[in-house]
Amino acid sequence: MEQKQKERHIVVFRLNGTMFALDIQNVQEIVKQSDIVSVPGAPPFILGIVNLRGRIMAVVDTKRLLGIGETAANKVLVMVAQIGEHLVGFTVDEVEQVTRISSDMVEPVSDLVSPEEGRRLEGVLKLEGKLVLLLDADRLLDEEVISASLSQT
Amino acid sequence: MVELSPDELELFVSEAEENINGLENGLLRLEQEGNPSLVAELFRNAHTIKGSAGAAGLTEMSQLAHAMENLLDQVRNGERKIESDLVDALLEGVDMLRAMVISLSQNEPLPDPSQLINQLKFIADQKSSEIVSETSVETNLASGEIIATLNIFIKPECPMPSARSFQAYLTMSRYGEIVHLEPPLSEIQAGRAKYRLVAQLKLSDEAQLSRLEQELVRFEDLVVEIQKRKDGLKFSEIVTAQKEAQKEVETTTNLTTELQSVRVSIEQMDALLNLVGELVIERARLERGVRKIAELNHNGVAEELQGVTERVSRIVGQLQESLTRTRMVPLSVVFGRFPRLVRELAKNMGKKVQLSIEGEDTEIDRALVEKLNECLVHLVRNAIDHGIESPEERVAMGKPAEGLLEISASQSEGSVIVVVRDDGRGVDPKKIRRKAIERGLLTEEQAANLSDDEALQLIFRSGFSTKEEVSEVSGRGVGMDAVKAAMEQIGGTIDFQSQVGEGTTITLRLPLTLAIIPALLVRIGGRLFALPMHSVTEVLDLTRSDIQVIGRGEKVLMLRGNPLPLCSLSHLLGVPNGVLEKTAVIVKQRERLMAVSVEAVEGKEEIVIKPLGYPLHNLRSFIGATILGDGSIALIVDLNGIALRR
Repeated sequence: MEQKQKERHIVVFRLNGTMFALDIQNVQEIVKQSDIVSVPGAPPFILGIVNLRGRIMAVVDTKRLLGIGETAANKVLVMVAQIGEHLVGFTVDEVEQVTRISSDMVEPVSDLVSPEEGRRLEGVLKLEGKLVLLLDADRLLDEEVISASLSQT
Repeated sequence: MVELSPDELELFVSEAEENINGLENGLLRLEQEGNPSLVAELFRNAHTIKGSAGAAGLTEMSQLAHAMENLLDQVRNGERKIESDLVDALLEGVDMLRAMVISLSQNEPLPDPSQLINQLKFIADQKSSEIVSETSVETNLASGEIIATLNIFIKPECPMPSARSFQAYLTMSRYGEIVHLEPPLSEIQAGRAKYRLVAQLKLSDEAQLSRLEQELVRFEDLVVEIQKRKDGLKFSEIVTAQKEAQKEVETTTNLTTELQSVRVSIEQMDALLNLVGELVIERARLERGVRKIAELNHNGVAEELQGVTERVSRIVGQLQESLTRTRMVPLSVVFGRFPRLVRELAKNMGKKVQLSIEGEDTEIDRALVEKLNECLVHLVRNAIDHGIESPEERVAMGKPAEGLLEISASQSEGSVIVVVRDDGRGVDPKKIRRKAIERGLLTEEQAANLSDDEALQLIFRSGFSTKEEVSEVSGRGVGMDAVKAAMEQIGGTIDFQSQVGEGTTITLRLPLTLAIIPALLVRIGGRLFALPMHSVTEVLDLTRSDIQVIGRGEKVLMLRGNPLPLCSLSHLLGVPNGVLEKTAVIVKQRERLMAVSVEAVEGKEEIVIKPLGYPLHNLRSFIGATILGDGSIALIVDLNGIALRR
């Protein structure tokens, strides 16, 4: 219960008009990427790979991953996220803000979204009257979650 | 338990591992060679573990090492013979120590050794009374006379250890009779003294000894340790003490050379190698830029720049090479486990096997160690299970009862070659043909058409196993096909030769290093891809090649009369292509050759392999990617990972 009162920082971003957020602990930086190299045979939600200062990093088409459309591969904004010990890029349309919230603002998703989508979310919160879906970084690329959502579409 | 800092823990663990490995190898050698001089070393290994575990507050580990030390002491004193039961018990101790150290390093609760400690104590109590005094020989000591062993350490700051050693020798000889001196007087006089001197002296009484000690410690750069004995020494004890003294002197001198190396963590090494990889990329960019400047301008600036670039290039090349070298580890890290494995397997299978290991100093890339070990374990199991016959069978065939298993390594032409050879029953091509037919892999006619050598290669086909019963040793399902696949994964090859009744020879060829490989850059679908050179055999102009279409439109390229399947690389990888593909690259895919067509070949380059990263790490078509001179990315194709036909 003590946990609930804790303050945390989140990065709020927009994808096809919907607001999403990630805990700032999972976000390393935001970079503009123009040359994303597609990888034949990779899962459809992988946009490609990029050269991030000499290191190869996979970039996820976040819209495809979440089943809300598709990202065009030229010039995209990539949020570099730390997933476990890996660095993975996630495409975003626009970064809204970095803001401080208290943990008790995050409410369970309950029946607002389908159970498949719900598995990727840590919860939902209201910012300036708008709903923001807080993504669970550790579950975003969880194989079970991915295969469940792929079988949905 | 005392809380160890991470550094202390790391130090303790690495020291313990060294001593545990020393114990294991020493025990196996002791059993095989029966050479009692090995015992002193073993004793010291156990003793060191006892001491450092005690100091770290690991009482139980210390007690276990103590129990082992006691048994070894009995062997050293000639109170106990070297028997297989004893070695078994001590090896159990080794396993327990190792398990404890592993748990410790992973921060898990340690296994409880108390039962094993009791068992070792029981063995020690049981027999020692029976053979006591069997080999004891009295030395001639008149009443009151004593024998003393002096351990004299010469401090490192002493400028002339030989002179100091000689002074110590002269002093000692004034007080008593020197029975033994290590290093010997001749060495000292020749100026080859070490920083440690061990002497055994016969003295008329204890008073003489303490007077000698007082005189010796007056040399400020000497530290003196004294052990004395009044009664008769056992003969064997003198011998082992002498041997031990010698060994210890050797170890002390080794210390100075050991101190010239440092431990570096693997992560740190990889980080450095990554940085150098980036330097290599930047170097290519720099070279390209300078070439452009040279094209534009002739006023000497370009020339100067070119000179600098060349030097930088050379230094980067050397840096890359020497750093790659530091990733190399000697094969002894792999081979070191085999004496134990072979002993255990032979015992379980009721076979007698003599293992010979050669070339363990040969170095390979650390990244290859795990896969190589996997393959070797498999081959060694096969050799003992299927290859080497039972002692009775061997004798009946006129062979020595003990089978021979050789593992040897050497370096040749940028490859490391590891050979596993046994003198067992060999593989019969007739049986292979029959089995292949039974398994439905071949028709009778196809089987009959195979040469013996071709038939032998069938063992690499998946699901092929020549021994009918499924034994615990070799297991089911995983066979030579798994070994071959593992070798190919690391860019290696495997060759299999066998003579019925004479034995089997398996040759593994591995690349020296994995991090940087030569690769062919090819263009398909307008993009560059890299093909590792080890799988490329030649490049052909397709417009001048003989191409035939068979079946449902499959293309075949006739290469010097041999039909090879011809596929488009873009098609195999699933890359959209538009341009006509005019070039064919002949590649090795598993055992066979095939031709893949590409738009163009752009050249050969040394590339740095970078992992694709999560979540693409399991992608089968690519080994990784590399960053080219202009900063763009080329995927590195794994030819064994792509399907032949789509």
